[in-house]
Amino acid sequence: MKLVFKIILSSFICLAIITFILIKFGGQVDSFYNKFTTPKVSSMIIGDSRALTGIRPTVINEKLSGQGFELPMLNYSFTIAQAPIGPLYRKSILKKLKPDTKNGLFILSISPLMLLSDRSHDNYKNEFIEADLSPHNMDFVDMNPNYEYLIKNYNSFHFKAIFRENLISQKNGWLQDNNLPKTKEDYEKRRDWWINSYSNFDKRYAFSEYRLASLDTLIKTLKKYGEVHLARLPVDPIFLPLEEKMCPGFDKLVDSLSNMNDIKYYNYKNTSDTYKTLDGAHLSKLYSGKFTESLCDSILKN
Amino acid sequence: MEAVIIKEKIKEVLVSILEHENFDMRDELTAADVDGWDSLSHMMILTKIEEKFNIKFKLRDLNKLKNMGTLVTVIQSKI
Amino acid sequence: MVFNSFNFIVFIIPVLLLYWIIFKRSSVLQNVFLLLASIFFYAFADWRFLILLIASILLNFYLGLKIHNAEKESKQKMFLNIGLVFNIGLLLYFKYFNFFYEGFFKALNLFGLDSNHNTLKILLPLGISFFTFQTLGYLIDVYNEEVKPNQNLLQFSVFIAFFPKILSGPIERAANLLPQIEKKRLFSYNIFTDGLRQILWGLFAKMVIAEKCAEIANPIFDNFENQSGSLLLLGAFFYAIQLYADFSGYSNMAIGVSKLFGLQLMRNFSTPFFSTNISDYWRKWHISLTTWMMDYVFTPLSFTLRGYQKKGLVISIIATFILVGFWHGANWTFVFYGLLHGIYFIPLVYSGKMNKSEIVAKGKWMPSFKELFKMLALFVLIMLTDVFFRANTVTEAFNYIASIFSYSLFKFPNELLSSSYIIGIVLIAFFTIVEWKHRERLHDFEISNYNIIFRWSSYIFIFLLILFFGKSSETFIYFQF
Repeated sequence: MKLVFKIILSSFICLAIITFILIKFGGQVDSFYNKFTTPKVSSMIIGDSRALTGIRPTVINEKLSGQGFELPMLNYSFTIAQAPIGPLYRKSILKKLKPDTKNGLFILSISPLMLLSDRSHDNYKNEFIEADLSPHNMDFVDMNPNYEYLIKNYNSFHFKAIFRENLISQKNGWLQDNNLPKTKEDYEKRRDWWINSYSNFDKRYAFSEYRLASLDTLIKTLKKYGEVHLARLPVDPIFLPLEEKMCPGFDKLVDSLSNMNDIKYYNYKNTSDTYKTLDGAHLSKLYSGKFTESLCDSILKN
Repeated sequence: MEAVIIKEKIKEVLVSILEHENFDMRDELTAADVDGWDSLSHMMILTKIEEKFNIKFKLRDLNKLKNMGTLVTVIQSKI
Repeated sequence: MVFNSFNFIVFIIPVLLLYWIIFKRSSVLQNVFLLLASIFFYAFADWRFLILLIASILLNFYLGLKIHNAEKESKQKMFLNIGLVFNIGLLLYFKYFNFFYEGFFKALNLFGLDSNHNTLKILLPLGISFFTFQTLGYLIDVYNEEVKPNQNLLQFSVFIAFFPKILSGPIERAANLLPQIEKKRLFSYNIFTDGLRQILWGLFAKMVIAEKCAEIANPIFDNFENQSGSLLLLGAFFYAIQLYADFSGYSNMAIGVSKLFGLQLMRNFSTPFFSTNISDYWRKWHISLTTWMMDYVFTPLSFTLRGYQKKGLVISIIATFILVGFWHGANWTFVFYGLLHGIYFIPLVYSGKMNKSEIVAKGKWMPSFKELFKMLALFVLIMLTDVFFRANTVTEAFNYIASIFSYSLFKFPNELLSSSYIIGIVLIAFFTIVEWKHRERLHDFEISNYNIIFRWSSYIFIFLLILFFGKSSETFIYFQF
């Protein structure tokens, strides 16, 4: 009896410590945890890590208030490993979406990388590289504190980050990366790291027709809940030929897709002089606000 | 041969190899009780005993040697 | 499933509850349940070799009885030999086949007989090195009349397949474990909580110390050609700690989990770095393997070679240690590792200083300077030898060690000032102090005699350490494809 009591007490203490950290520092110990702790929403930003750091919900809430959209906005973007376009991501988006939404706003940030698939996988047989990762392994996407996320994605937690403030994922889903490059060399080093990764990426992954078709389905699905806008975010020009090689004619494909669905595609790929990135591929927090404003202007114009 | 005589001879062997006499030749004495009687000196002690009594141990005898008493019994069975 | 996984928690909690609530009535029920849980555990890890494990249990059980019941010694010997051939054959086939196969073709090449060959793809059954050694030991014990053969297949199956130790030991002996399985286990509060403490300490050693050391040592070893001598020395240091923390931590968890079921496995590590000579070290390092090798390899070998006096001893020791090394894997690096350790014994044999294991500075707070010096010297020697354990090839290990002893050994490694190294060293210091304090105890974290407030604060403190430092991956998923 004494033992049972002690075990319960000690489990309770451990749980209390973890709960405290999750509630207080959830955005620091894990970059995606916060996304699963907020209530369901009617409007969201969808995309990979470029949208994760590049598009700020607060700016949109401000600029587009009174335009008839059901705000606030949630940044429900992940990384390219977790959330390429596909049925799994679509299902997760629908879980996080208020089912009675009528006038939502959906900003889809897309890039050629989001249409790639592992060469060894057959998408038509339901084989997806992202299957075991969050958000696809989550049943509860709006629970605070979210223990399901802790159990299933414990490996992505880094608890000592409560002493650091390099990466902070905010409650609205935007990831604030405070680790900016200090010098030009620093920037180039990070950019070269990505270039190297791109070439590895190329060996393993190839353009997937299935994912392109799935993008079409996603657009059609979201249109039932409101307005859909497509955007391609700025990257260092050095990446553009590489991306073109991975997915030839990407812009044309997206253009025809947006025409077919009667939605707009804003292509910012050549604007990295105006909106600077911190590593060639991700917008710096100093420019993400300005970029989001411009994006809002584009949406307003149409 | 009588146990007392055997023990006397064993003691001579031990002293010559371990170079001390800090032990008591009772039946319950084990190697662990004696300074320096470890797995290495054990083999040298056995070789010396074989010479002294002109006997040969078998590998299986080795496991029966738990203490001084059993050592004496095993030797007695051989001569 | 490894002990520090979520799967294992989901597995162990219901198993424990059922074991102590439903199946506690008799030893038969307890054993039936443990066997089922063990089969599930093994099948979960790798179901393909379950048949092999079952076959091994059945054959060894049968041979044990046969050896015991045979009247003539020659018959006994025959059954023993069948067992030796079967068990050693399994190990040789699954673990060492390709090693010898390739060696054979390399030898052919030496004689100019060039030939094409393909190595076979042989999967290694989990835990095979551990359970075959246990069955081998059992048969030899029965043959030597050290133990009576077990008459009950259920008990024998639990003895071999008991899940906390099936994958990585300790390598149990019939004399220790079988009598515990024969009796009904009664729940003991003290043993249970002691098991929990041991698991906690094992988790800390493995998830914090070993992970942290690996994070520092891996990049140094992976790119050792371009590093300074001083950094290579640090790499060897962190690897030596990693190896110890990883394996002793694992053993503590296995022993701790076993205690939760009321079964006491043998101790596997008893603070080996607090030793003043190499023989002392090996009495405390991977004890279940070294005592096995002592009893079943060294003793018979040195007995056979006893006519050659000290030379015979040296040969036996070196042969035994080569086997100890080779047991770890089919690679020349392990053979060298064993060979070097065997060589280190030579001065001890000739000076006759193979003293019995004494606890260093027993009953004192601190070692004397002489003891400290000896411990450090021994540690450096072991740490350099561990490079063979880590390296991919023998040449690589030699190059690594050669590069340590270059002029750049005296260059201050700037890495030492980085936060990662400082955290690593502080954690190792904490780990060392706790282990030093408990070196005279039954395990590294036997703190039942302290008062309750101190005990509970220690648990919480270690829990926090595991939480904060348990994940070493600094590379964040954002940079992951």
